[in-house]
Amino acid sequence: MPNKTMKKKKKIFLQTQKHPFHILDSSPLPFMVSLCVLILALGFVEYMHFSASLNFIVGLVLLICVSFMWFFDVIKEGTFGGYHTSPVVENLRLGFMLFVLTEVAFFASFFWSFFHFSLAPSIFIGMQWPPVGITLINPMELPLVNTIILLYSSYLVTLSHESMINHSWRSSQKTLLLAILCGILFFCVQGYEYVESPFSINDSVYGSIFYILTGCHGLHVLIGTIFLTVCFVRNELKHFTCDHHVGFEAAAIYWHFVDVVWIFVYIFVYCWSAGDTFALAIYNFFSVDFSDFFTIKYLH
Amino acid sequence: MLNQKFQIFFYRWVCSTNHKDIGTLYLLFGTISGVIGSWLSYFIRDQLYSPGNTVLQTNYQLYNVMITAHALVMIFFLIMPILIGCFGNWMVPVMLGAPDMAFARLNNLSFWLLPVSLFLLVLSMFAEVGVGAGWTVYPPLSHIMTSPGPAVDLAILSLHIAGVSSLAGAINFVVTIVGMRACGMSADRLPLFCWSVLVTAILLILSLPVFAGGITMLLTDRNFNTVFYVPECGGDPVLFQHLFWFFGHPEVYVLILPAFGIVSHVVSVFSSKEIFGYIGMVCAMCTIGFLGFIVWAHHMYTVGLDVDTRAYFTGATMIIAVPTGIKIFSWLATMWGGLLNFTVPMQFAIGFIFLFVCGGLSGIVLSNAALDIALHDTYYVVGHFHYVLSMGAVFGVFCGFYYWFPKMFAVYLCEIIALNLYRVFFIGVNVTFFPMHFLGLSGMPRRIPDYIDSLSYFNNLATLGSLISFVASAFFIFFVAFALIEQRYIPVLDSWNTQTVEVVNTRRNFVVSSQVLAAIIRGLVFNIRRVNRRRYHAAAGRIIFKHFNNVVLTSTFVKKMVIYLRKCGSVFDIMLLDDYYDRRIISTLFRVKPIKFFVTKKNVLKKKKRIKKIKKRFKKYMESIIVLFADIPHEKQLSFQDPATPVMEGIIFFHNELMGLLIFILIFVTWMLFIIVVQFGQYYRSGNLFLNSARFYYFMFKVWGRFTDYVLHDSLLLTYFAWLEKCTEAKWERIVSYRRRRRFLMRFENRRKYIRATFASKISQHVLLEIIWTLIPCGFILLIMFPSFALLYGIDEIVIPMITIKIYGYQWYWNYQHINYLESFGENIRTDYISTMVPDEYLEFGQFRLLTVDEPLYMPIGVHVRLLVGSMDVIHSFAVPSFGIKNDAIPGRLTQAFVFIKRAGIFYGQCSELCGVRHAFMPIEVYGISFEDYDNFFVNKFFRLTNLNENALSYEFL
Repeated sequence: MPNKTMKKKKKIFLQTQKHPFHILDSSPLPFMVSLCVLILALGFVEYMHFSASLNFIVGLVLLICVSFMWFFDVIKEGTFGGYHTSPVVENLRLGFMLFVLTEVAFFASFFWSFFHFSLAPSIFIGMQWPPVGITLINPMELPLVNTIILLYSSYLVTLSHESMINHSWRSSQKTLLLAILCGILFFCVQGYEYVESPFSINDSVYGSIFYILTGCHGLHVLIGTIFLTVCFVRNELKHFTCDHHVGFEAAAIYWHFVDVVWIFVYIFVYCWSAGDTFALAIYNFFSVDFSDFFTIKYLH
Repeated sequence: MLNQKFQIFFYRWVCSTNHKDIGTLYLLFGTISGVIGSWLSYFIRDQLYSPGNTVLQTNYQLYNVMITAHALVMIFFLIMPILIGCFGNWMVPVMLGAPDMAFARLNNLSFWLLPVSLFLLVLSMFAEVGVGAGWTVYPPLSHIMTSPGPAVDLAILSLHIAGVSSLAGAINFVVTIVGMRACGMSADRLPLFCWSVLVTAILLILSLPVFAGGITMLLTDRNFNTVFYVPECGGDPVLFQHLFWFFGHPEVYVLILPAFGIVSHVVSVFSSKEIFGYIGMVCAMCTIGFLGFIVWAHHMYTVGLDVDTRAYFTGATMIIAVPTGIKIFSWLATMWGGLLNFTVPMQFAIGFIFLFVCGGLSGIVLSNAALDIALHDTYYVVGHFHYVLSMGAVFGVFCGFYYWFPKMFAVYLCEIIALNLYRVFFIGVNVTFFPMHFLGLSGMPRRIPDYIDSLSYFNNLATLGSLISFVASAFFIFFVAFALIEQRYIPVLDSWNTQTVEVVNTRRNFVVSSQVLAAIIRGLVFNIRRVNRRRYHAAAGRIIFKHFNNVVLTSTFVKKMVIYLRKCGSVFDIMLLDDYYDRRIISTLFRVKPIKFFVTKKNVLKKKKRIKKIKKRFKKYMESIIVLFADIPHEKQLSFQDPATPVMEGIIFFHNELMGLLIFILIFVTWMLFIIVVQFGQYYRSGNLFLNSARFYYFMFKVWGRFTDYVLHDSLLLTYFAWLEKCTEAKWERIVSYRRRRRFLMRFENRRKYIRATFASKISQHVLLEIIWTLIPCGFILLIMFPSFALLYGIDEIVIPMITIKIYGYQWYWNYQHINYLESFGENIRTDYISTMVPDEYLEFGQFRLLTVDEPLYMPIGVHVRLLVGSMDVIHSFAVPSFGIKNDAIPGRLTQAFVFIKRAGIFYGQCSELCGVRHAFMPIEVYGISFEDYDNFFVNKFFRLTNLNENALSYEFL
């Protein structure tokens, strides 16, 4: 008997690794992703220059499929395989934060361009910002609604996270669903705004920077919504526990990032650009009549 | 069976999640793209071997495509994959004591995206006309209007994918280094290579996405109708330059920092000493990383930035010299008092230190915004960045390769061949890139497929050098391939017979010499070395230099003279008569022996009678000739062209002043290196043939012994050893048994160790010393900054101009408008005219190829002239070396420059910014004439609306 236990112990000793990290099996997915990226890139060039979008769509669909396979693998390893020990979770969290940092730097380049154009407007656009002839979207109307929607959605995600930590699964699901709906609503409102906006992507540099900033942001909203939806489904399947929900945390971080970017977009691209219009809008919004005060001051 | 084999192969190499396998894949990939890149570079040099249409004939677009691809391939697909991908993947987890990288699958993805990216880049070379916009892809040139076709889009997507790959890798490295260290591997024990990779990764994470955003906007500008870089709609081409260089400058440190890490390891290991000033080294690397983010605009001094901005970037850039100096001095201090073992990686490390100092010093020259006016976008810049990249980063690659290759593949590389390859490579790259500094100083612009004839000498030399290094690198690949085929195994654990951190995972680079392994390997190496003692001769064939002699004198007299001389049947050269000769020689030239200077062939000189005849004819026309000189570089010119304005005089004065200081620093570092190599070198263990002989060693000690007491004291003992070795060397083969010999050597080493075990060899930290070598460079920088700023602000001073000339760049000619005459003549009269280059076929005798234009720019001398420079299509650059002006002509912007010409003459310049296919063929010819002539000329010109003949002009006004 002791011999047998010794053998068992030895076996276990040999089988267990002496470090807490996750050593992966070899996987064909990276290679497949790179092939999909190749098809996607070539398809994109084809789409731009030869007006053929088939390869682009095929590449995109394949890339999405392969990414889903990849994510399934991660979920399998993390949730069912139990490979995500606490150091691995720490690493994943750090890695995701760094990824968000790269996204921040990516948006920084667009904001850099925005300030480059707006702080010293060139003579070709009348040396004023917004450029001559551009009618802006009133920041106190739909954009404000959008801001509130997104901020509320961000709040809901935090609430959902809190509930998850506090073992209340149902409320967590409810709030998360609401957050996702808010995201979709934001996306729809943004689409409506695009349709209704009085300028196009080619209407001076304001149109370009407006559409690239809000467009990139909208893309991130879309990705974030999908991310949250995946989390919702996983939570429905009870993948998350109160102390182990890396996927959800990542989605929440991402959603907050999207939210913060939107705040900057709203403040600078909508409100700050609007200038006088914005002041007027605030004036109308609060509907406080300061006119007497000003007239008195400036007349006498 | 085959299927199974394939499966094994597929799982090992394609689906790999093993950091070592992925590192090997990176190495293989880097080697392949290195072959592509050096092939391209060789083509470039071959084209520039001699002036005129040589290799590529008139396919200048192909030339532009090649320079673009060369840069991109070398940066993104050679240096980054090997330094970060290969060595980082291989060594970082091992050094940290981690089982693998943090995200192994992501690691594999970041490798597999690279071949895709390279494929797209290569495809872009062959798609329609290719990317001819330079690796910087500055917008108006890379816009759809000027670079149509899918090529630029393919290149942009390629850069996107390479960027994603680098970012994934960078995130992976940061997470691995932060989160996967073994117990006890605290931040202050982290090996320096890991630190360097960490800093590199952070630089990539913060800078690459900005670049990605910039090229995304370029992509949408090209294809989706946005207007970010279109000035007509409020966009700005300069914005792209900001975004590009905000990435581009940290990228430079991304390339060099891992090399720093490798060199630190190699220096420490082969000096048998701990690295000196570990914390200082780490802080220096972090500082370099931080400073890398705030100096980007020094790549764009000429785009018309504000003078205060330029002053700030000058200061910030120069401060980088301080942390870099700390690193250099720390390496020197590491070697000081150690037991230097001159193995191949150590040789590369020493070469790296020396050449990086050279490159860094020319970097200090370039960092001055005032000097950069004369040097921006010239070959000086090319020389500089090849010194820090081709000899910095690539030497780092070789250093790490030779150092870690035995560890990675357990294969022995023949040290002697490697050493000789190193020498050939060292000579090759120096011969290639050193002359480029001279070319740049004399004003040769970058990225030109054809150059003026008088620059042929140094270009020939550079091509010769590139041939040498090309042969060396080709040989290197065969050498490594044969070594891998031969598979001569050596012990993996401690291939360089020093216990380093790779053996003891949890330790910092703490060196303990392991005696047993050392003895075994030393024996092995000795045996092999004895057999292959013959020297390897570099395959550098003779190349005949073609001399394209400049024919300068523009006057009918000289034509007659030449025709006369030709009739006499003599082949002759006419000497370049430029301002240089004018100042010093011209007075004696015409009075004493005028012919002697003109006719250089000996057989003509012998025919005295003919000369006398010519003399008589010559004297008649003496006066008309004296004023006909031109400001172009002459053959073998080593420095700037002669100044014609106070600005250029200031630049030259400051440059000379600065060079004195820099040469002093260079001499100091070289002297230190020399002393270290001579004093602390252990020549017995090494494969160094040059330094191996005891006689040389003894001689060196005798020389240096006079200067230092310390050495003198030792030299007696060492003389004894030298004598002993000399006596026994002959007998060793026959008499002394292998074992005895080894014991003898061991004893010898022990004695030397005992002798050298001074204070210096024990310390690895000396705070006072570190403070000193931080403060002294700061003092030097202050010393440089005061005159630099004075000059910069002096140049920028605005004087009320008498004449204003508006200069517009077009593809590919200049348009000059004399604005002052606009008012006096009214709008109906054209006051502008274009000046295009005279093609080779229509060149008349006495005109310069590539420099003469059909209608030059006339500028009055002795008055202040304001130049307003703008562009109508892509970015050009208006540069005249003798005036000290270089203004980028950017669409949507007007930049101004002030010129006060001091003397009459013909001044030449060339467009200095890549502006498309015929970039090299839009020269600037300026006639400096007196104000009265200028005025008369324009009154006549614009009322008559006639184009005057150039030769007639030269008579009329000069």
